[in-house]
Formats: sequence, structure tokens, C-alpha cells
Amino acid sequence: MGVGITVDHLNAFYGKTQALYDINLTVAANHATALIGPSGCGKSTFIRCLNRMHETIPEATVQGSVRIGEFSVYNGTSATQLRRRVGMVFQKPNPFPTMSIYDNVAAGLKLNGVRNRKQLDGIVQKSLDSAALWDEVKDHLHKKSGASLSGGQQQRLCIARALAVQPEVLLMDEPCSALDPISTGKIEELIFQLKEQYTIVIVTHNMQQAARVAEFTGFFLLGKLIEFDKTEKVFTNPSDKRTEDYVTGRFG
Amino acid sequence: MSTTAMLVAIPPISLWRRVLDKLMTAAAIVTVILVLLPLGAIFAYLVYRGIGSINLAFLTQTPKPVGEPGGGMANAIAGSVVILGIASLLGVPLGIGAGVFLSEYGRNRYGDVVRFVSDVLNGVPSIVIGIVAYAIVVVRQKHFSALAGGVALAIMMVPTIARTTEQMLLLVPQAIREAAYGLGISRWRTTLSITLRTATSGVITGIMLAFARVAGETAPLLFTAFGNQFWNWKTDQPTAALPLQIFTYAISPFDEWHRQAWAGALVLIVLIVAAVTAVRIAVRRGTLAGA
Repeated sequence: MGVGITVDHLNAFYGKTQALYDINLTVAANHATALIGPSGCGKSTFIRCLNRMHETIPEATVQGSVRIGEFSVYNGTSATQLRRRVGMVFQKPNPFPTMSIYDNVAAGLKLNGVRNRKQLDGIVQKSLDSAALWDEVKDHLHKKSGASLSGGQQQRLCIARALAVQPEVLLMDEPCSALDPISTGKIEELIFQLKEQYTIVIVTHNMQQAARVAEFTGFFLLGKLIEFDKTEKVFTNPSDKRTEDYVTGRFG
Repeated sequence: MSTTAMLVAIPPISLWRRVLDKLMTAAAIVTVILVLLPLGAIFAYLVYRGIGSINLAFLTQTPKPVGEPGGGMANAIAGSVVILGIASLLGVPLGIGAGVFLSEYGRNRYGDVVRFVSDVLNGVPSIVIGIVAYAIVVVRQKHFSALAGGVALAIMMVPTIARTTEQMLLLVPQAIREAAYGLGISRWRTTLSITLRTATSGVITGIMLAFARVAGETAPLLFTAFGNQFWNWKTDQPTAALPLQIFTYAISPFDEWHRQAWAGALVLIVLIVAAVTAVRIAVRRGTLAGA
């Protein structure tokens, strides 16, 4: 089951450069929330603060508080523990190239000590099934490497890999930007199904995509969260002039 | 822009460009031949001079005293295998460890120091490495040994393996590491099971380079392994090695020994090629389709 996210006065920095200014927002459990905005506006930085990937970059720092469910992200939880509950799908598909399809999906569990073969088999199948990839790969799970799949399949493999760890939240950082329309359609369908079990936060450059998949949308500009509301409201009747300019294509 | 404009015929490629194309291709082929020629020539000459002296006795017997015909280098072949085994056992983990440090944790001043020291070590003459091994192993043990020879060769392997491992790990995209972190895999686990694994084939190439280089070294073994005319399996006793045996026989005044030195050199090269090929095949077996 998904859990909600509460972000309080979040500031993020790269060295001395501030990338996010005082972000406050609440993400509803078991819904999809889209983050839109022009390049460099901080939406990726924001999403990476939710699972503490931001701090893997040298000199990157964070202030403020993030709560995921009852968990305090920046207080008392180890980053690795947290990331098992908050899965992530990246912009470019990044399967482990030397691992088989099976090992790619099982990696998160295997490398965290799960050895039970039966349990692994079950989770791998379920995860690939949830990622709508099982039928396409079931015949060569062990023979083919993750890198041998097409781009769209690779991205679904990455989703399956993230799901296998059984997270509560799934962060997607422009998951379709490297994919063709057909693969994009598949991933969007997937997001619809995944919402039932996970809370999804998706960064996207594609405003139609945000409108299609998300119940809530946040608009970022220059490191600030300008507007956050129901998707319908943001796209049809935004309260801020800058949001309106952006969604109607007047800039960005 | 009209469609007809796009369909304008591409002008024919001029004669000069076609000639230049052929010239450049020919130049590339010639350079390849020039690179392969020395290797081919060496190998052909070794076969020519050495094959006649290779027989069952050469591969199974120890050297005979001067004047007695026959005998072989079996003990030197075995000794080389033992010494190289010790060297690999010590040098490979150390080299990989240093390479991992340089790539994953050494993007700073400490790393720069290690890189510099490693590059200098790579340039230290092998005879000097032999003296070091003599000082730290032979002097303490109070006699020459396979262990001392192995230590000397291991020291020579480390910088090559460390620097190639570093380069190969740096080629692994950051996105792969991020994917692992994103799954809640800790940093050290990621380094060992994801990054190093992704770079395996390159790391092994580095190990093979280092191995092939030290396998033919003579100078570091002169006063470490020392050589031995008899069988010896103890790692704390003077041990024969192929390069040493070749050296001893080649500078001797006896024709029979000269012939055996050629044969020894041929065996040495064949063994190195066989070892490298075997590892390559083993690695390829483990590679998945499309990886």
C-alpha cells in the first residue's frame, strides 16, 4: 500500500548554489502526482530529495523535513533503508548490463540478503507482471542480459526492478523522455495500474502526460513551487499567472 | 523548400576522393601488418629454433649435467606456474582493491598521491623490484624462495592492475550506480556487486596484461626465486623458473643448452598465450546474450 508524503520547508543546495527554495507540499497516498516545469527548475532535484539520492552528489546538501508515511526521511533513517521503501525509475533506462533479466529484477533483494530461490522466483514473476513485461521476457529470463532489450522494454524492466523491492512510493524522473510514443503509452497505462498499490510521483516535460496520468500537479519555476493543485485546476484554471503562461505554452 | 530541391542529384565523388579513400584504407592495413609483424616474426623464429628440442623428456625431466644429452625444463615450468600463482594471488586482489579505491573513493588528493606513486612504481626497473623483494623476504627468510619471487612479481603487477581497474570502473556510467543506490543497496555492495561486475571484462584484460608482462620477467627472479636444477614444490625453497632457466642456458657456452633455451622460450610464450586464451574463453562463457 502506498503512503503519503509531506514536505516541509525544503531547501536544496549544490555547494553554495541554491536549487530549491522553501518547498512545501503534500502528496496523497495511492495517487499519481506530476511535477512539471521548464528545464533546470528543480523538479528532478526535488524528486531526488525524497529518496535522498540528492546527497549522493558531492557537496549537495538539504535543509528542511520530508516525511514519507510515518518515516522521517532526514531524521534517524538510513538512506539505504529509506530507498527500499521509496523506489526510483530514472530518465534513461539503466538496467545492469552484465546481469540477466532475472538478476536485474532480483538485484535489490539478492544484494540485500534474500537467498530463498522460491521467494525470489515469485517476486521476479510478480514484478515483471506488474511492469507488463512478463509475457515478452518469460522465455529468456536467465539467458538474455537486461541490455539486450529494447529501450521501452528496458524501462519497464527498471520499473519491475524497482517494484521487486516492494516499495510504498515510486518516484519516476521523466521515465518516458527516452522512449517512443508506443512505449510511452505502455508506461502511462502502467502508472494507472500501479497507483492502486503505490504512491507515484512523476517528473515530466510532457504536459499532456501530466494531464493524462496524474490527479495532482505541481508547477516548479526557478527552484520554487509556484502552484500545486488538482491537475484539472492547474491546466484549466491556474491561480498563478506564471503557471498559466507555462501550461498554455507562452514560455518554457 | 520544394521536394524537387531535395532530390537534386548528389554530385559524383571526384576521382581524387576515391583515390584518397583507397590510399587511406591501404595505409591502415599496412600499419596493422607492421604491428603484427614483430610478433609473428618472433613466434616463427622461436618455433624454428625451439621446436626441434621439444620432446616428452623436455617437458617431464629436470636438467641433466653439462655434457649429458637430454634432460628438460619440467621443474622450471612447474616453478614458473607456482611463482606466477603466488604473484597473482597477492597482486590481483591488491591491484583491484587499489583500483576500486582510486575510482570510487579516490577522486581527491589522496587518490592523486596513490595514482602518482602507482605510475612511478610502474616505471621502476624490474631489477630494483627484485632487490626490494630480496631485502624484505629473502633477507628475513635467510634463503631464496618461490615466495620471494612471487612477491617481486606481485609488486610489478599491482600498478598495472590498479590503473586499468580504475579506468574500467570509471567507464561504468554513474546511472548504473544510481540505479543500485535507488534500490537501497549500500555503497560498498554496489561497488562490489554492481560496478565491479559491470566492468569485469575490462578488469580481466588488465589482469591479463599484468600477468603476461611479469610471466616473462627474469631480473626480479635472479636473487629471489634464484633458480634450481631439481624439483622443488616448497614455496620457501629456491625454485626454478622458465625465464631464469632460459637466461642461464642462453649465456652458457654449450650448444645443447642453447637449443634448450630456444625450446624454453617457445614453451614460455605458448604457456602465456594459453593462459590468456583460457581466461578469455572462461569469461566469454559467463557472458550473457546481448551484454
